[in-house]
Amino acid sequence: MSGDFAEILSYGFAQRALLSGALLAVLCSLTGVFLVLRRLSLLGEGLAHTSFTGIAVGLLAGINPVYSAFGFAVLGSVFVLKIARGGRVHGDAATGIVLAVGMSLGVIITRLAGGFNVDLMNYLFGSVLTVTSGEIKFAAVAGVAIALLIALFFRELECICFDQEYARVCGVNVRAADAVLALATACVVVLTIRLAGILLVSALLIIPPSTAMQFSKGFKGTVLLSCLFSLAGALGGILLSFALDLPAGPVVVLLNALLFSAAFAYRKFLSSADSPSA
Amino acid sequence: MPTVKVDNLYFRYPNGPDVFGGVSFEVGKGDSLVVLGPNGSGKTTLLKALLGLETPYEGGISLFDTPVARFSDWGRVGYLPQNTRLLNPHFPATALEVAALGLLGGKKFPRRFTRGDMDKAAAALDRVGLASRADRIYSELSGGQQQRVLLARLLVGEPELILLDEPSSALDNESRAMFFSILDAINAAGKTTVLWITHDMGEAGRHASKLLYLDGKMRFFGDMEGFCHSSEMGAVLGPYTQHTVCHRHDGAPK
Repeated sequence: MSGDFAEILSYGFAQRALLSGALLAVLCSLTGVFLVLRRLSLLGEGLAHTSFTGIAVGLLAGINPVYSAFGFAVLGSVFVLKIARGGRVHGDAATGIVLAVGMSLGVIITRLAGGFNVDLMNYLFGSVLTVTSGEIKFAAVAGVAIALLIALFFRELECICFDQEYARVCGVNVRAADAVLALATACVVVLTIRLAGILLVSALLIIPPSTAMQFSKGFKGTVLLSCLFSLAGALGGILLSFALDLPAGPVVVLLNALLFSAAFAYRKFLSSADSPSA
Repeated sequence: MPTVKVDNLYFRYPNGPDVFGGVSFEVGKGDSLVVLGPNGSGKTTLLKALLGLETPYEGGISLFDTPVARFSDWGRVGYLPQNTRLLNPHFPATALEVAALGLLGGKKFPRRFTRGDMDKAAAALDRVGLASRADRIYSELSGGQQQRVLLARLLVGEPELILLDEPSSALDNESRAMFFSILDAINAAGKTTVLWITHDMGEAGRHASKLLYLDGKMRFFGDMEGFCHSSEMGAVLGPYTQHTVCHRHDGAPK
């Protein structure tokens, strides 16, 4: 068994899967912390569904679906921000509208193109084992750009996540900071679709930050812990999927959910131990 | 040069009636102006207009001689909001991290906090009696302690203009006394202008040097002596309320 496992790890596809998993895990958690705290958790879900239209368009037109998916994800983020800022519609409702429209358009385009095929199923459910070296290089370059963008706006994003009004008083351009977050999310979602698939990508944005938030380690500590949990979930999940011969995306998500459950239980235990009645 | 100059200000929300109109006043270094008025009289709206968060449809506001629309030196202004319910209740920052956010307005992009900045934040927490709580998560503190952390956030940048919206409403008596002793000390140095809203008439009388009474329009603006001798304010508020503002139980001259 261990010999078989070592043999699997010696293959290029397994190494590429682990490398891309680690890279995307860090990017997802870095972006996800701000999304969760800004109460835009489902933005990733909405943009993933919007990018489905882009993937369908890309497959239909014979261009790289990642590029068309990115275009549609950015378009989706613009719509969400526009609708939410227009008044009388909250961010979650705006995300819901964009999500439904994106998925519907994708289904119609797919139908017009002659139905689902293997490529499209890979984007829906993820197929990290088929990631190429070129895709990893692209993800690495994009990842560095996203991390740099978030690092540049780190304090602005921190402040608007806590107290948007005070951020404005400090001269923070809240619209610009929100646009940066939405753009970063669009990039991360499109890159992560290859790992987890359209249907599961938002889990990687939401679960690791939620796990980290159970540990009261301050804001910077939460960002760091979120990255560590996400890394553990992705690498552990991909290795488990090799060992159990299961699809990687869902195993990564379920392992993240397990880590969250353990952290949640730990938090509850601490709370009950601290309460006077305990 | 007045710290704050408000000239014939009128404000209304979209499709609504005027919240207030005809508001004009000036405050300078060392002034402590309390804004009084019934609920819905536009006190908080006025404060938000001073911060550039709301835009009046007529009239002008200048901070440090610069129209508020063009004002960018927000490091000189400190603000304590009334409604902390608008803050993210699950934000995982420590008290120290929240206090440090008070330095954000004085930073240029890309905004970074140095070790010296964190030391300033720690000193501000010490000043409000929360040095021992610096590493505690903000959302896990009591309501009064949270308000004191926000006071530390306000103090850390040593602002020249302090705007407070019902700052003591969430504080117990001990915290309230500490709060005003800090505020009075800052104000007594003569370099800081304080503009604050309260519903506590006694508090207004004890800590303010000027008073503005808002009631859809500006009913009164002037010093305490003028307020205490104003027959119009006596008629508006009734003699008991006017007495509550003006009478001192600590023997200090009024």
